[in-house]
Amino acid sequence: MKIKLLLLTCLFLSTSTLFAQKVDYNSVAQSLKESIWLNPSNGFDLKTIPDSLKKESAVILARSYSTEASSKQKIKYLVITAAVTTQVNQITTYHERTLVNDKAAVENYSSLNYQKRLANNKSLGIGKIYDESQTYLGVKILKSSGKEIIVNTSEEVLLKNNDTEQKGKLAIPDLQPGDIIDYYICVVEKTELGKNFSETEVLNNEYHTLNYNYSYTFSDKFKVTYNTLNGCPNFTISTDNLGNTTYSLKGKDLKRKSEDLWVSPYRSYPFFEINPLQTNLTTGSVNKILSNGDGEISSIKKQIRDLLKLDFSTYSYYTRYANSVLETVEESFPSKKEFNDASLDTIMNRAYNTWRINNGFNLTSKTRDIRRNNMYYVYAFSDVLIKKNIPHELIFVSSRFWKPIDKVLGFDDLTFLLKVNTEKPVYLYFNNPYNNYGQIPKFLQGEDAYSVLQFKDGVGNNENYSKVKIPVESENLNVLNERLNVSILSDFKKISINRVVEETGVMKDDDDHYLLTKLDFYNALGKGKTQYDKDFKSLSKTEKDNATAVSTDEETDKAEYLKSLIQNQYDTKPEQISNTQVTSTGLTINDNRLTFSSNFVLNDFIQKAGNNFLLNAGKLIGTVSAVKEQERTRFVDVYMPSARVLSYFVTINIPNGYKVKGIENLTKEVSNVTGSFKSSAKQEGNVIKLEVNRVYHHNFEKAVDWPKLVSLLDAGYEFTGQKILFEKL
Amino acid sequence: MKNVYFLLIFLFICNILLAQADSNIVIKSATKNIDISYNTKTKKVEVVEKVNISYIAKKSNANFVFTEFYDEKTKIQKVNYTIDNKRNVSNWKPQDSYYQSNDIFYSDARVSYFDLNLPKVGSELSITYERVTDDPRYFAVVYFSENYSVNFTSIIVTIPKWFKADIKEFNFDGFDIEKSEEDLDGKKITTYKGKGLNAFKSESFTRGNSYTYPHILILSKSASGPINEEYFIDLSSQFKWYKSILLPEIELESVKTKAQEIIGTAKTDQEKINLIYYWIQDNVRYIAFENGIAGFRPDYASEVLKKKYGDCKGMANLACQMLKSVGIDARLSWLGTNHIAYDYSTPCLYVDNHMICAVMKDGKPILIDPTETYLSINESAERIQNREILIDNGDNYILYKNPERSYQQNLIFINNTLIVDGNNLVGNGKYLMKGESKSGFLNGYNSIKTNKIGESLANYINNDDVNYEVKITKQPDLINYHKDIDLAYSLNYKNAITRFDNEIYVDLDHNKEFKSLNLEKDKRLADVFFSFKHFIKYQSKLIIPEGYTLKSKPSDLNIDNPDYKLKANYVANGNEITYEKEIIIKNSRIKKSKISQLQKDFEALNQFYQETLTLSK
Repeated sequence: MKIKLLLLTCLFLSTSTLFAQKVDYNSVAQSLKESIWLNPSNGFDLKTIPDSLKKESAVILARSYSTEASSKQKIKYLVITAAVTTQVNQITTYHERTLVNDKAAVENYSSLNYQKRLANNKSLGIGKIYDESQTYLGVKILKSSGKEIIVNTSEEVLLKNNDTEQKGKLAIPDLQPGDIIDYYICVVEKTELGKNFSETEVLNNEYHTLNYNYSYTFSDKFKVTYNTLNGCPNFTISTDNLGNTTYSLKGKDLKRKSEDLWVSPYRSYPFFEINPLQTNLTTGSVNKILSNGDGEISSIKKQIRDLLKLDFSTYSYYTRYANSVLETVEESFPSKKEFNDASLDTIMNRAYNTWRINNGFNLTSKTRDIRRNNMYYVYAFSDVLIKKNIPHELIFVSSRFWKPIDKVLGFDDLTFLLKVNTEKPVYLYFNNPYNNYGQIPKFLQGEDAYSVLQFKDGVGNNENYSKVKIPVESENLNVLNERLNVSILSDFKKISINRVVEETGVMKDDDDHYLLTKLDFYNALGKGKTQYDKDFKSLSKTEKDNATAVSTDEETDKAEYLKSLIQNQYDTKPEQISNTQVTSTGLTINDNRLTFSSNFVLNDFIQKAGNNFLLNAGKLIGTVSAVKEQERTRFVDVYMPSARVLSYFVTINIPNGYKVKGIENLTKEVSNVTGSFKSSAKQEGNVIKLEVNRVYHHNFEKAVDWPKLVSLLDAGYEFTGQKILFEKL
Repeated sequence: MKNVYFLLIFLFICNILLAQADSNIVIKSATKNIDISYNTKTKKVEVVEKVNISYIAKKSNANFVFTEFYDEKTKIQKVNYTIDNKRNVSNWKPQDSYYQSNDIFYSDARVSYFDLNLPKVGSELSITYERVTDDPRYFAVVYFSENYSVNFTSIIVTIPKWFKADIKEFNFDGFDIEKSEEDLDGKKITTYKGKGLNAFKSESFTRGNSYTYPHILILSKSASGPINEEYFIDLSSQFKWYKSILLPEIELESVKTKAQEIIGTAKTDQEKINLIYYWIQDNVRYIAFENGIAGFRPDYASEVLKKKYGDCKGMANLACQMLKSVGIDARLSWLGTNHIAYDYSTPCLYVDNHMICAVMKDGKPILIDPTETYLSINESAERIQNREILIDNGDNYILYKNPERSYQQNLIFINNTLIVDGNNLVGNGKYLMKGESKSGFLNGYNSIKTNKIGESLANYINNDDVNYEVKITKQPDLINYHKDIDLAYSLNYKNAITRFDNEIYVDLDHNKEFKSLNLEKDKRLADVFFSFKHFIKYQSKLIIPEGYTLKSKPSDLNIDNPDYKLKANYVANGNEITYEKEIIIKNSRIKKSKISQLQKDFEALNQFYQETLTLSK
């Protein structure tokens, strides 16, 4: 229930509606009730579920979602209510009939929250623009005895109640395990403002669904694009004599969503999206809906550029900025000749870092909060590169956690990269200053994409289009390397650890956001402390206060983050954290490792056994999640963040007067096509040297290979339980 | 009840603001002028609280959040602020909304709120506002602490001679608070001045703030001057007020019919009581609904029956009316749970936050709390133990103190018998749960979807440890909540044995309750409150593998004092070793003065947990 309500709420918030004040709410409510409950779609007469589903928490017997939108004055569906037919241009109804089997489901369906009314009417001179919506709902309970109880919806409470907005909440009475709840929520809207409605729906629900039905009706004033993916049934399309076109799909027997690790829902479950654009919009605003969804990249590219240029002043700002960056780079060379002799890679590296400096060095705001409009920068830099006759590619790609590139409908679906064909081509992503020169965002790696090769020849600007694949960075570019020096404290209750962590590529994510300070940026990107002090000095008094506060916050956040990082890794609270240092920022191509170190003390690693003691040596690599029985079977593909290597080099100092047993238990090896787990240990003098490597070769595995991944996870989990004995001599 | 949400709101404010409150803001000074007066326009006695608070930013860009709650009896007005002497713009006003919380279905409480940025170090924010309460019954509590630490605060209470009220002081010990009184122009002025007060703090193992933070209760008795009114002169008048707002029941026939259906052919009163209590537990859902006067007024029993949901008042009323209809002497009863530090010696609305039903049998009450979904009739939740219960006795009341139950009510008993199998421990076990241990389990269990329940029972026993494989061999009765939960299982504790040469190391305690308990004793403000009195008994028998003998075992732990007992040891007997553990929390409240020792003792338990048994060949 919550998911759908959310959807309806969002609909309210993202669109606007009109509903005449004078319309009799009760008569409309009654008409809708009769219409919806007396004309149910398929499955709404069901009262039982198959035996195989008897152990489910709840089973949706039927659910139906329909939207009718029109710029005309009549909507077929609302002919039932003459009073409102001239007032309404959209009606959306969600109807669900569910058998609740247990108390958890009763709790889930025990109340209904909804936006009852929303009015954003605007006065315009002597006229008025209507923008208003009204919600109607009906709920009935079918007891297992066969008795039907119609819930009195007027017993709602209003959580918000003012001239422009009402928010309602209804407690569902007399709902018990074994009952069927049959309810609908109907939103009637009218707006005289332009509508920008689109909807995406993953079909699988929290509960098993026996019957489902979606229907969207639009007048001929709408141009509709849609997608059905991952086995979602296709829309059936029909047009009535009023010119309204209905897109509908239905199906049966949808399993409830599983709760697997590393899932990309839009690549794994059937879903659809439907995207109607009202074609008679006159607002003149940039509408982000592309009418061309057929993958014709040249058209998309041109339309995006045209859209960008609609707001010419903003776009020209970006192009001027990109131009100035290239000029700054040129000026950074001692002479014109050296600039001309420099490799394209050197020039682009400097250009990208200049962008990072410009966007990451605001002393009065936290660097990790900085996000930039990548699309504008990609286009602007492309324009400048064309002028400078530097061949490059504009890359259009969709996220691994969204639909594939060939299914995009609008440019909101796209992410943009600038690919510069230096000796070793680099991909530039202008979103945040932590991203290294050439580092491809993890959510784009391995994706099919479209490329527009931009170059100039004797005639003029040229473009070549092709379909490409974004490279997947190899595991060796995403490395976590931990070096631990472990000592047992003299009370034999705790251990102290000196830990040095090096991270590259994806493994830096988040850690760099919290561990790097503004001064780290200055030092890494070549401006240094002197420039930092100079920049600080140039600030106003208030700005200086802000900059000081930002600096203090960054230090506090860094300490807190490190503490939580250690606690999460070892599943115990660290004590006496000291000597925390970031020795390498990983912000440059030449030094792409984020390196930080600290000392701390941990409990829960030692168990006393008479005069001897056990050390949980396996856990020194941190906790590894156990794969539970029910998680071992999997039907959806595995979308991991990246291919990666996690290496641990642990030195354990043997306390004086003790000898070690059980080192041999720390050697383990599991290897398959998805990756490997390898560990080895040896004693050298009075230290134990433990080395562990966990390797994941890919960022994606087919569901069928999940058991292979599980074997690696199992190996890791088993290893973390391994102990060694320190025996008193 | 309505007071519940005042208190919850207060907690809510604290929790939310503690999450939001910027520790880089301090209150330089706070002044609260509380004036009781007669409003000639409304012809009502009002309590007007004029508040003026100055905040100082200790860093730039400090984020300040203001929230004040009000309802139909109170209003917040004349809210203004200045930052560094610059006044808010003229058309500015705070935002306003209904109070919403996951715990409360509906409340008519509203919240006035806004947030501000204090731009620089030393920025001074001054906020003034008035809270007007148009019925003195609804005004009682004034705290000295705020959501930010307070350098200086003054609370000035002005009471005209024609108005009778008592001021009670709570938790002043250890705080720098001075009090002075003077009579001026026919008014009694009581002034409190406090220095260096902590901000409200969110701590683990706590109850309401009324136990910890200094505050006063203003107990309004009567007015005899411009208007003659009685408020809560004593407990009797409070009881009468409660009775006066009860509505005559409607449609009692449906209640009676249902009650008759529920009791069927039951003959004894006890059978009837049990059947009705358990039916309400099973069939009526608790939701908190707090609305105006109805915050103190129970819903009609017939309505609760029809809707199958209700708040504590409605559920108590349904229980009473059902029981009465089958000839049982059942009474509505009011009380404050242990969330509140007060008892009925301070008659005011803040002393109550709950309603139950009391059945009078042989002159003694049997207490029925239908909101306790998973407790049997013989069990009593910690929150209502040792609390005074105001029982309806017609024109008068009975004040009954619900006796404290022993920790034995809440027993968890785990009993395993194990043998060594390779590196695993295998065997059988039994699990018994009673009282609030059982109730806590069932609450969690019934919130789990049926499709996950198969694994959830085993997961509860194995603490989600995949190495501790449990197969239920005797299913517990999870339907009849009045019975103990009693189950049996087979067990394969994988990799429980660590083996080196001729020695094996065994840890027989998988659960390790209260491991790493951290009470932050050095920073702690509140006493330690356990949610209930725990009684955990653990017994695990290990058959020593042939050829092995016991080489070493952890030293016995035996800490026993009036507040708690921590006992753990291994006993060898022939080829068996039995691990026995008892953790008993005898008092659910441990005074702050004892926290250091409590922490130390639980660290000793933790230390015991970190020792293993050694068997050698």
